[in-house]
Amino acid sequence: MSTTTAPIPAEVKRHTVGHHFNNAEQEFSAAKLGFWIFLCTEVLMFGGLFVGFIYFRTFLAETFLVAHRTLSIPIGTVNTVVLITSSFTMAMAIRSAMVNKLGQMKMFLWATFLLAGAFMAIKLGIEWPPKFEHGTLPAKFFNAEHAFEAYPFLASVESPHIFYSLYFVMTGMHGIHILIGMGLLLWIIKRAYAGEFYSGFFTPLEIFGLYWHFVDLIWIFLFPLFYLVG
Amino acid sequence: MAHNESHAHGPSQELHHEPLPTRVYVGVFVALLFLTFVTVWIAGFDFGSFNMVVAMAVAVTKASLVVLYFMNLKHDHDRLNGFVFALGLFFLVVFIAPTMWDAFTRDAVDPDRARTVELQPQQVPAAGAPAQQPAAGQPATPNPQQ
Repeated sequence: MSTTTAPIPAEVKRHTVGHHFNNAEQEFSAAKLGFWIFLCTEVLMFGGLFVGFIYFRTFLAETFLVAHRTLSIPIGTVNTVVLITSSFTMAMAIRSAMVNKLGQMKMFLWATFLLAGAFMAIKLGIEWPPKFEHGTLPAKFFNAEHAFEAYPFLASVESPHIFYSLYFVMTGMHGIHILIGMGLLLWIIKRAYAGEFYSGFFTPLEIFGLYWHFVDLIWIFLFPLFYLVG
Repeated sequence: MAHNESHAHGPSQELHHEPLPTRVYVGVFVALLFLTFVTVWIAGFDFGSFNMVVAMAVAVTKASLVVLYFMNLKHDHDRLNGFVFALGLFFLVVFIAPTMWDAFTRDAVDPDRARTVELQPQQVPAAGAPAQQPAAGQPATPNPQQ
C-alpha cells in the first residue's frame, strides 16, 4: 500500500531512450500526447455512431423504448462490472510496474486479459446467440416472423430493425476494440516477460492503459443507452 | 559513436514518476461499481423524459472518474493532454448539438419534412403483423425536394 518504490530488480532490461529524444521524460510525453490525439479521433468515430443513435431515437422514440426491453439488463450489468474490473486491474498493472513489483504487474496484466476474454465470451457466447435465433438483427437481416413470435410487443412499433442495426454496429464496434485490445495486451505481456517494464520505463503499459480505459469509457455510455433507457 | 556517451544509463534515461496511492485506484473502482448499481437501480423507476437525463448524468460521472484517475488527466504533468482531449470533446459537441437541434425542432419548422426519412422497409410487415401505414396525412413518397 505504500508508495515507496522497490529497488529495480536485476532481471530488467534498463531502458535507453530513442536517439531522437533528449530524455526519458520527453519520450514518455511525446508518446502520450500522440495517443491522446489518436483518442480524439476515436471520440469522433464513436461520436458519429452516437449521433446516429440520437437521430433515430428522436424519430423512433417508441421503437427504441419497446425494442430495448429485448436486451438483457443482467447480462449488460455483468459485462459492465467485468469491464470496469478490467480497467481497475490495468491501472493496477501500471502502478505495479511503477513501484517495481513485477510479479504483481504480470498478474494484473493476465487478469485484465482474462476479464477482456470474459467480456467477449459473455457477449458472443451468451448474449448474441438468442438474437440470431430470434432474428432480432440489423436492417435486412431482421427476421420479422421470428422476432414477433419471440417478442410480440415488437410488432406494434415502427421499424424495430433500426434499433438492432444501431445496437449491433455500436456494440460490435466496441467489441472489435476489445478484441484488438486483447491482441495488444498479449504483445504487452510478452514484453513484460522479457523484462522491459519497470519504474524507469513503462510507456507501452501507460499507452495501452489509456486505450483500455477509453474502451471502458465507451461502454459506460453504451450500457445505459441501449440496456437501461433505450 | 560519441553520441552514445550521452546515452549512458543515468537519470535522464529513465522515468522517475511517483504513482498515485493504491487507495485512489481502489476508491475509484468501488465508486464505479457503486454508480453502476445506482444507474441500474434508478432505471427501474420511470421519470418520463428525464430517464435519459438521469442515466447520462450517472454515465458522465463515471466517465469523469475514469478519465481523471484511471487515465490520470487530473495529475498529468502534461496539461496539454487534457487540453487535447477537451478539444476532442468540443468537436463532439459541435457534431452532436446541431444534429439534435435539427432533429428536435424539425417538426416545428416544417411538419411535412419532419418525416423525410422513409423508415419503413418493405419486408418487415410481411410477417403476421398488419402493415405499418405511414402516419395519417403524411405522404408516403419520398420528399421530392433535396
